Amino acid sequence: MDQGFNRGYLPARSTAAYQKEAIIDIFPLSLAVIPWGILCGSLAIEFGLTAIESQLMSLLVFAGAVQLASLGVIAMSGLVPSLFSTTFIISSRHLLYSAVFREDVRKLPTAWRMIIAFFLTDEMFAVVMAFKARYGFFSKHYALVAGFTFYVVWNIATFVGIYIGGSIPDLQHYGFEFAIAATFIAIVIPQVKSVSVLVSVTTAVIASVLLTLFEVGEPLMGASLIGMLSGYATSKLLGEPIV
Amino acid sequence: MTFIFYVVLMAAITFTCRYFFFANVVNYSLHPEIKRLLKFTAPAVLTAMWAPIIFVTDSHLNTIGNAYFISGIITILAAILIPRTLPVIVIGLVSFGVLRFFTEATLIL
Repeated sequence: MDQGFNRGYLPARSTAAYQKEAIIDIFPLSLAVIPWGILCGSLAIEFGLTAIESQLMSLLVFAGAVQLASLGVIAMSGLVPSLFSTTFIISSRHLLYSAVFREDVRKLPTAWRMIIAFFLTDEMFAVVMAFKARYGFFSKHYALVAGFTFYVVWNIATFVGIYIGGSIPDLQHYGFEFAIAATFIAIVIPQVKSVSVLVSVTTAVIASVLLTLFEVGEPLMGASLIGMLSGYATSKLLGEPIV
Repeated sequence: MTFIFYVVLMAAITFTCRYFFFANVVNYSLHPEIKRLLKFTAPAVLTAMWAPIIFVTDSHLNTIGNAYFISGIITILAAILIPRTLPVIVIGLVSFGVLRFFTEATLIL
């Protein structure tokens, strides 16, 4: 396994140390989604779902954007096909994460692969990528603990939302999402070590801001693909090595 | 009861997206050019998430007077100077907290 000291990676540590790091690293992101979890729970109740149905959304679907959008779809149209197409469109970026981790995960036993897939959220992807940048390898223990911690917090937040029901305070007002931004900035900026990544990040900033401002299509997926393709094109033009 | 059925189907879709490339049914390796493209997944996707939080509020471009904008710039600068994640997040959050406190105070006055 490539845990090379000579490539500027931190020296390897024990599994327990990685698990502890996972909890610390996912903490700010867990904190930031608490309001969204509460919102998911309380909105589900408001839209007439039972407590069990509402909690099952977080226990099984485990995808904030999908859960909120699905409530919107049910409330607006009640059309079941659009419920599933919306779910797929929002989840499609996870296909990318799945592809990114493929080489690390495919050698693991089926149970491990399924568990890691189940817990594979934006947040887990982000901290695991930062871990890989630090240590130069993929730790299944780190990934599992980070993903599971996030899952527990998400479900407790949903439960609180179900419990307090429709009477939620204006959570947007407190700016919790800044914690997500700060964490992702702290993870992305140190990875800017080549011209191509710089181009990719800069393009993604411009594209995501413009697409969000003008509310064009799916800003997240659109800007992600534009950022990736511009990074790819730059890397190809400059003849940068793969990996 | 029907809704529980929908929830299970939605869960199947989200899980399939997450598991898709972990499946070993066909034992293939991703093409090197695909690997080159995927290298940009983390920087591009995560940026597409953080940039609108920092630069856009309710379909308007944030400017220098906005707490998200200023703290975002502070966090970016901190991330350039400090290679470790946690101190950068703390600096970002503290600056945001302080700025929010003062902008709220100004509003009250």
